[in-house]
Amino acid sequence: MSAPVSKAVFAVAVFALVGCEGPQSAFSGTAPESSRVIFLTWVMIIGGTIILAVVCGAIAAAISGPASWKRALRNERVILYGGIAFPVIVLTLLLFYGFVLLRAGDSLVSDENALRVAVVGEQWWWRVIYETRGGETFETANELRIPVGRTVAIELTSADVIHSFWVPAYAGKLDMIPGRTNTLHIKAKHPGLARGQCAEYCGGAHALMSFFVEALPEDEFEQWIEKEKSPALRNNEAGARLFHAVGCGGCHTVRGTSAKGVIGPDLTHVASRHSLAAAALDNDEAAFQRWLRMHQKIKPDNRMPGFDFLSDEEIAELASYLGGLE
Amino acid sequence: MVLSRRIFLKGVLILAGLALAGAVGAVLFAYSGLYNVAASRGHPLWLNWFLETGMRRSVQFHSGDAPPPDLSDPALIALGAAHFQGGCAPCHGAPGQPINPVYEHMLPSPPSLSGHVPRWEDRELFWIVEHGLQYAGMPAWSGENRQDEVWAVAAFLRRLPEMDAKTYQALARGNAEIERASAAQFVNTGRSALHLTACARCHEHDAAPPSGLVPRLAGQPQTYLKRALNEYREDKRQSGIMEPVAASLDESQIAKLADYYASLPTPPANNAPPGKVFAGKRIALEGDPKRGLPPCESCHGAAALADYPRLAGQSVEYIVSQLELWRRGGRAQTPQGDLMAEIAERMSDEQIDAVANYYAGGGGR
Repeated sequence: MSAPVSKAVFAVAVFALVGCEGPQSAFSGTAPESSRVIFLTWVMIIGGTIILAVVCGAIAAAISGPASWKRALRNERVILYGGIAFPVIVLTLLLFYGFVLLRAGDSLVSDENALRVAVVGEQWWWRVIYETRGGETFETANELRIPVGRTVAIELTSADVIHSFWVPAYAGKLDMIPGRTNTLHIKAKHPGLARGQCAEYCGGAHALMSFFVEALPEDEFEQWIEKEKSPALRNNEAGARLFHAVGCGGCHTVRGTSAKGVIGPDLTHVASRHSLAAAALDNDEAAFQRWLRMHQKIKPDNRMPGFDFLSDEEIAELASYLGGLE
Repeated sequence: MVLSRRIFLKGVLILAGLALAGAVGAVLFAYSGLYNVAASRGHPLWLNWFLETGMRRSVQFHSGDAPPPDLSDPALIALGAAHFQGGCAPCHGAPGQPINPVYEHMLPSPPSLSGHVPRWEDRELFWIVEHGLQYAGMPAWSGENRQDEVWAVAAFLRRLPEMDAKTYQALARGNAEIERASAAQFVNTGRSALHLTACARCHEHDAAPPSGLVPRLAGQPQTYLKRALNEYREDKRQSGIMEPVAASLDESQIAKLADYYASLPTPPANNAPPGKVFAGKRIALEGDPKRGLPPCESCHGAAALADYPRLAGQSVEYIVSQLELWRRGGRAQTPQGDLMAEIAERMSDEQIDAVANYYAGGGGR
């Protein structure tokens, strides 16, 4: 192999491996379930590679090996043991190994301390409903925060079409099906930020239906819950009035104000999230402005109607108000 | 065999030659200026027959077979009459009003419609009013996608033959005679002279409009009224009835009219069935989240932008007709209209009927 070619191969390999890093990587799982999935994946990749090498060696020997090897490979018993018995035994063992490793049929439901969260897939965002220890519920959107070391029971359903909830760092995919509740259990070992993605094609903006999951130490999580369930912070009274006058409250809730709409995402603490528009945008005032001006370009056919008649000053006022909803 | 082919070829050549000669002759004839285009001269009989027959057959051929709405609806007839007075009567005359002599000398002379209407079917009347007639000076409807308005004129035309001058005037004049403001009143209240003539025919503050399809303007926010008139004037909001009216207004007249109507009290409630009012109230205050329908009051409530209209006191017919117009894309040309089109598409027929009854029956104040 010449020097430039091997350099190019090295570069491609590096880029390919970079894809295995990051908050949405299926290879950097940190939770028990995803660690087991990754372990099984490696067992299969390494085992499969060894078997492939042996088969390639046998083919090479059959084509151009010594006459005695060719004769040995022609033997009917080689076909019988190597071609039939070996795959049957290996695949059967692998199947049961997979069951045992991934603890099929077992579940973490028995954890009485489990945090219950309902996530509803909607075109194209995530409605998130938390249940506190006291049994009261409150709503947020497009983001989950979970306590480290505690089981989280995520009840998945859909408001429209089939979606799929996938946070590779924590677990495998689980479909969200209209009229049915699927429960996914996850548990974080360490604090950290992971990214999730809808993994079932659900319409035009499917690729822009993502979210973040942040694992927090138990005490920080409790603080977050206290803040998240409380009403919105008062800020920018003029912006708040404009938000109301434009009609935003017809679809969005800002708890503690007259905005009580339940059609779109809850915006009570929207500014404290890691992203906007289901991880389609960063979360700052510029992003709010961008969304208000051109959300149908950012996420075509989303259900929010256009507000193209608002002036630049009005857009800035609304963005400032929303940016203050920490 | 050979002979017949030769004859055939010869025939083709002769025909082609004649066609060419005819075309050249026609061009030469036009160029020569010999034909007299004077309207005073009238059409020769043969040409008259040719044009009349062509028109009749064309209208029969092109008018669709969509079922007409109920043309005996008084709201449609009154709306059509009010528009007829401003848009059609100058050329066609009306009961008690002869055709203006200027227009009478057009060629063809605009017919008095009382005698002509019975010759046409409903769908043909509708088609002529919507599309106009070539070579006859009959203009097409000036509001795109406003078939609802065109049907109003067709409904009125259907009644025209048996209509006497008194009935016609009552229909066409609307409320114009109800109240006349003196010059002093004008100065004190900002009433424009224009309001007394054109606007008050349909939009008077203290009387119901002549047709349920006409909105009540009293108490609407001034900003909204200005926007509406400007949108009509700039051909953004489509209406064959309001666009010609708004086209004749200037900025200061629009401002005065908006001030005037905004200063009037919200119109009173009408009677509406309590069941529908109750169902409509729910939609107006809570929306229907399952359909993605926000509450009407979130944008039409007291604290909403002055750019948005208020709904209290509008008639059931008006609200229903506008929501249907939105649903078929007829009011989506402005940014605000586009927003409402998105919302109207999420409403069912029953929901439209219910909210219309809620607002007509006293809701939204």
